[in-house]
Amino acid sequence: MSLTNEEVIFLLKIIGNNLILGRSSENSIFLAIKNLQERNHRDKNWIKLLNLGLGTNGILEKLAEFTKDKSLARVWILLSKLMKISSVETGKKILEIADNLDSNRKLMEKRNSTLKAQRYKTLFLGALTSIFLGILAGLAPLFVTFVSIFRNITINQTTLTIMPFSLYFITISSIYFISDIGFGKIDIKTIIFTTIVYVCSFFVAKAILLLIL
Amino acid sequence: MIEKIIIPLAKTNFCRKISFDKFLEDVPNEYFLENFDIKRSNINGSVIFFSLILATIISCGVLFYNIIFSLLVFIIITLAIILFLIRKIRKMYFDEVLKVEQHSDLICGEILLILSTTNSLTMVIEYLAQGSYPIISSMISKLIQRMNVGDSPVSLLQTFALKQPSETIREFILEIIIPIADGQLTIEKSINFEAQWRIRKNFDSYMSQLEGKMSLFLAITTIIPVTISMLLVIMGYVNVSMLVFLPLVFLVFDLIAVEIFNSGKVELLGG
Repeated sequence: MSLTNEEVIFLLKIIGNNLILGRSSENSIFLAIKNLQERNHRDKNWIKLLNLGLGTNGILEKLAEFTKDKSLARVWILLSKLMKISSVETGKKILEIADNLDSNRKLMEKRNSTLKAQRYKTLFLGALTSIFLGILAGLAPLFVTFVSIFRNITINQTTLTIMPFSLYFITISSIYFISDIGFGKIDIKTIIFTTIVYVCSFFVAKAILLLIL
Repeated sequence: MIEKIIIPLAKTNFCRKISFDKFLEDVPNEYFLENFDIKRSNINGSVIFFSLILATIISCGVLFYNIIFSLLVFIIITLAIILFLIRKIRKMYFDEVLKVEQHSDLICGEILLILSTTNSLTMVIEYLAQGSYPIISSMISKLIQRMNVGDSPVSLLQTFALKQPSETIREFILEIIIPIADGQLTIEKSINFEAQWRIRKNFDSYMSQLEGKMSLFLAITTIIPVTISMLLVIMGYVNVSMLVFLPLVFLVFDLIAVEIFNSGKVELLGG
């Protein structure tokens, strides 16, 4: 069971509003958790937090524990400290903080959607890189023959044997960083897909070469 | 690497004697004194010393090939390691600044609320020390010890504001809290302090550069490797050592591209 940033903001807003209305901190927390439960349509059993016999601070500590973003979990510690000073003032401050967190969340979503829109571009270029380099590795013997005919440069067999592996490493390092930026993590599926694309284009180019010659 | 090699090296007598202080000028000397118990000049000395040792070892490895080439390798590797280490150390500091900036809204909100309800700077210091804010809470805890000895909370907060890494908190304490404590401002007038404008400004600037950075990233990671490999193969300028060397060069290129893409990236609290 974990609290997403959106749920944290939702809880903070309800607690803040109820504190401003003059309700006690216990009642505000109870109403917030009840609302969260109704909003979640019983996906997660938040109500059980109220049945553990914990005090206000205990519940807030539990909420901090459940908060996914550990930097954001500090807001519950802040709330437990501030509620000891003045409930109404805390309510106002918490609403201000919740509004700021909400606008932060919207900004981050905007950035994520921009990055998502770029994802297909990066994947397309990544796939294109593996196709190009695969074809290049497959057609290398042809280019070597041309070079030896027109420029009188001889390239030995070891170079030709190593070339597909070298170009494969270039492809893999590109794809590794592309998937890191595009997906925000190293995606094994993309790496496997790229390898297959590279191998296929290499053998297709080789086959075409054999057919032509 | 920094904490395992550079910092212990900076604590040696040899590096302590070096008084070169031209690198890392944007990182305050206090940061090194408080975190690692050494001066900035010692870190600079250690960076230079380490890069010279590593570059000497690598250039000796290629000495049999050509002396001029070895000298060139020595210069390039020295400069590259110095740049890499300076960048790493700066990143360590600015990551800490970012962490504090992320929480500046909570910290400023807490200060204002405590001050408006209790009217006591001592309470502000006590409450902040009880928090779990990165860097700030531990720094504030030290103020309590000074307060117990008899120092005034106003002067302590002033010193703290100048020492801590966040510009937002510095501005907030010096321009709002200290004038309130001195009676030059009333608290109602300062209640709407926008603590996050600086971090949002950085976020906006990163957002506006995102498209350009993505294009540059894609160019370095895909278009340049494909073009160069194609040219080398078609023109026939390939041999075994080049085929071993080329993936490594492009790996470095990719790392540079990732660095370019991530530079200035800001994570907002609640995002």
